[in-house]
Amino acid sequence: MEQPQSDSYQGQSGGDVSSHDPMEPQAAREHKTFLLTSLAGLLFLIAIPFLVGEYYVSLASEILIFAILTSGVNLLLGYTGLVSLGHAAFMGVGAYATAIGSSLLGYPVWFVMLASITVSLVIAYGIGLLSVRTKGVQFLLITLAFGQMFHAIAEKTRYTGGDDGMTNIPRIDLSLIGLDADHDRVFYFFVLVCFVIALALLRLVVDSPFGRVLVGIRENEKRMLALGYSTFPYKALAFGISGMLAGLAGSLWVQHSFFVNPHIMTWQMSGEALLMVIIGGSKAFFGPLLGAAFYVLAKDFLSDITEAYLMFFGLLFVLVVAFFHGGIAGFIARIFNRTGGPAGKDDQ
Amino acid sequence: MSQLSVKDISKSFGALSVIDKFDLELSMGDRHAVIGPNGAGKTTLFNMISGWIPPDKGTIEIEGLDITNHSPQAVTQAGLARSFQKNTLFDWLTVAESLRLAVQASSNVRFNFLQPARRFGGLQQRAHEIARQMELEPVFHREVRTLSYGQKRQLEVGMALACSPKILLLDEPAAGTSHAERATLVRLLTTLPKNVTLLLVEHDMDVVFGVCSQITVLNYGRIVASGTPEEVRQDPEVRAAYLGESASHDGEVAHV
Amino acid sequence: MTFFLFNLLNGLQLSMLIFLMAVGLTVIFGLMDILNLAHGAFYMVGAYFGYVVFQTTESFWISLLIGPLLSLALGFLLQYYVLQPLIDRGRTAHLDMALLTFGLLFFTIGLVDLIFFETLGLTFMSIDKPAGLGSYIDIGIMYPTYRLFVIALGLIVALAVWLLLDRTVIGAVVRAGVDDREMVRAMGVNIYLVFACVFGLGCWLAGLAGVVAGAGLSIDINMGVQILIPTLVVVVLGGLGSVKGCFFGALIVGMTETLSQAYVPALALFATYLLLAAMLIFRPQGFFGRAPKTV
Repeated sequence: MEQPQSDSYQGQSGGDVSSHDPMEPQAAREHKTFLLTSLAGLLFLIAIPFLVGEYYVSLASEILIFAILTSGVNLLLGYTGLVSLGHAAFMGVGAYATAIGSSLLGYPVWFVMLASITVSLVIAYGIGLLSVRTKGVQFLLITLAFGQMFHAIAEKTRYTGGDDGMTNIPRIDLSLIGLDADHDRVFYFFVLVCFVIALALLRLVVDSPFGRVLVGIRENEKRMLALGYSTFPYKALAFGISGMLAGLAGSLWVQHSFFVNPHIMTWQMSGEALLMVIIGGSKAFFGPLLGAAFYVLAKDFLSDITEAYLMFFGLLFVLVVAFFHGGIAGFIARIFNRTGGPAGKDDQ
Repeated sequence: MSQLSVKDISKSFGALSVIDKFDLELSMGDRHAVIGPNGAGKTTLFNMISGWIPPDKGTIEIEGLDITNHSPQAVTQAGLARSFQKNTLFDWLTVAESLRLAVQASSNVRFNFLQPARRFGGLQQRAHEIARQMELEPVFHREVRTLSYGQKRQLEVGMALACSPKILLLDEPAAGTSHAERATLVRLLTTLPKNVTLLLVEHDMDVVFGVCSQITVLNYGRIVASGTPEEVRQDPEVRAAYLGESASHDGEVAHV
Repeated sequence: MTFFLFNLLNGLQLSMLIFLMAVGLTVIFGLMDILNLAHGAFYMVGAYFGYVVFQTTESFWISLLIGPLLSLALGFLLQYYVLQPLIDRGRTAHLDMALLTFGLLFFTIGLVDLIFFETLGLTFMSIDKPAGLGSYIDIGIMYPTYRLFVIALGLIVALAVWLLLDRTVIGAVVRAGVDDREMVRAMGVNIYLVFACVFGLGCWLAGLAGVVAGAGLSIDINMGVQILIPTLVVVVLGGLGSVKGCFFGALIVGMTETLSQAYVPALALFATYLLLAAMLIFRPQGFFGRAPKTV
């Protein structure tokens, strides 16, 4: 039984009402903040190769690739409220499709990339159609099961080297514009372009009426059904888009590292993607990017000291889930709000 | 032709018969209440009409269209929207966002996934209109969880209304409200558009007599009486089965 | 025929091991709505602590007795002092609990790795089987005695769990709690203590399975994750919260894994997952779970 709430909030209604202007002031403000943040962030990302050494440029590529994966995962986790433990599978699909297409079949990489993304989308959508019938814990388990199936396929397939995987996978050929992607700085810019396209697409999706429906499903699916939404196709499509981004990440990943093996599809990998999203902040659009950056950099730093970096991430993850739901993004937003930014809502 | 026609529906859970051969005909603009003591089967009846539970037998039609075994979303799309007894809202969204989602459900942009939602000003206008109708304008941009309980009940009705239904099913709209909040709700319900047909389940007699012109009394899944408030009040069986108890119900409500 | 019998017994052995894991997981879920993904960590803790005890005492039996106690204690403390307070603060819905315990699993793996591998430099570890159980016995085929011991242990535990839940007061409370949590709360039982005890017991069983596996198989860093997946499959097959379902689920999974490995190796890696996926698509509530409430 729901108790009538205390009226402690009643008093503060005066400020944010614009009774004759139906446009939401907050949404408009947020959109502006988003554009400014993106622009500043983009300039920073462009500057990176000019500021740091080759090694860190390579790490930056890694961050952006993971950010594509985790932003896709967050379309499900943060926006739709579905926790998938099988997304590494779609990263693997993208990775293997690229490796097979370029290394074994000899097609040009740009073509193979497009094909890989398409294949990931189609497979993820198909798996989505089967998975999103369930929810909550069952959904988590069924995605895990599908993920493990793909992992098993990769391990068993002789054609792709079984457990050892494949090596010498080529990077995209940029000689048309006079560049060589084998240089890490050049490849970084290629990854950056993919990253910008992917996140722009994702932003369009979450900002659209379709994206609002996903948020409604996260908030209260029962009400969505009562409003007349068939939530099923929305969830399946969200799953597909999310898997497509994972596929793109996988396709870039094999080019970045020149090899692929089934490890990319383990459920630990899916778990690490969740880790990044949660630590970065699942409630914010750029949270997964921050999470990926934190994860890659901290892992790089920690693995100099100890192999047991999982311990620190595990603990951090627990603390974030338990106490800081906003993750890094929420933390930054809070600091920003305290120092005189637009009056924000407390994250409680 | 009647707008909503419920014919001979029954439902039992195991050996327990919850609804037994229930009939109901509503015409456009009717204001109809289903009342009855706790456990009379009112909520089950609502869940069957709105598609959440399939009836064991019988048919349900909206303007001649059979919706008997349709899903809840299909029933809503056919023009019948419902509210819930227990608040079923988007706690972390604003009133504006909630209502816009509700309005969007019946528009054809809902599957658009590449254009910003804020471009669709029409939806926003309509959402604002509903908020004004439900007297939620002052809290239009506030998150739902920060509303008072009474305002949440108003939004609960508003969400269903925003679906532009032909028939509106309200499941105990006044459940758990204070006297003042109830007065507001009654006022709002009486000013609903005349072309919307209203069917409500309610414990509170102030609401029922204040809003409805037709009443069906349910007890142990059977219709005990049906008619105008005056007729129902006079019915001896109703007095025995239900109105005798209403004092204790009022007491219950006062405690909440 | 002997090949079949051999595999049948192997399947039974695996089933029992998985059952020890799954029964705790399913009761914890049924009672507290917590999908404890850290269950694999408690299995690991049991095995590693059992190994430490074994190294000190050189007795399998003492390590079987003492090893799981650490899992019990940690499980109890985790539920009573960490998970329950978080649930009470109202911020952590059950998916958050799954995520949180998932993080805990990562943490435990890292910690164990740090202590045993990086600090002590131990890579291959196992607990020696006790004197009487180390060889083979003739039961029509020559079969490892220890595996028969595992089967017997599993059956005994299954019986004990059934008796505990069916015939004792605490069992009645737990059963009532699985059916209707609110009611138990209203009964005035110190429900948090019951929760923590059940959680601890579940973890104790996981620890027990860990020690048993530590002697039969080997102890390594991935053991917790490896056992967790079939365990989850069992819990879903049987229906979340159902002990009976858990027992049959364990039999199905154990047999499927073993027999597919023996007869259709190409399918071995998929069989269980196919089973799980099919189950979730066609009967998401499992064999013995109740249909989810729609309203």
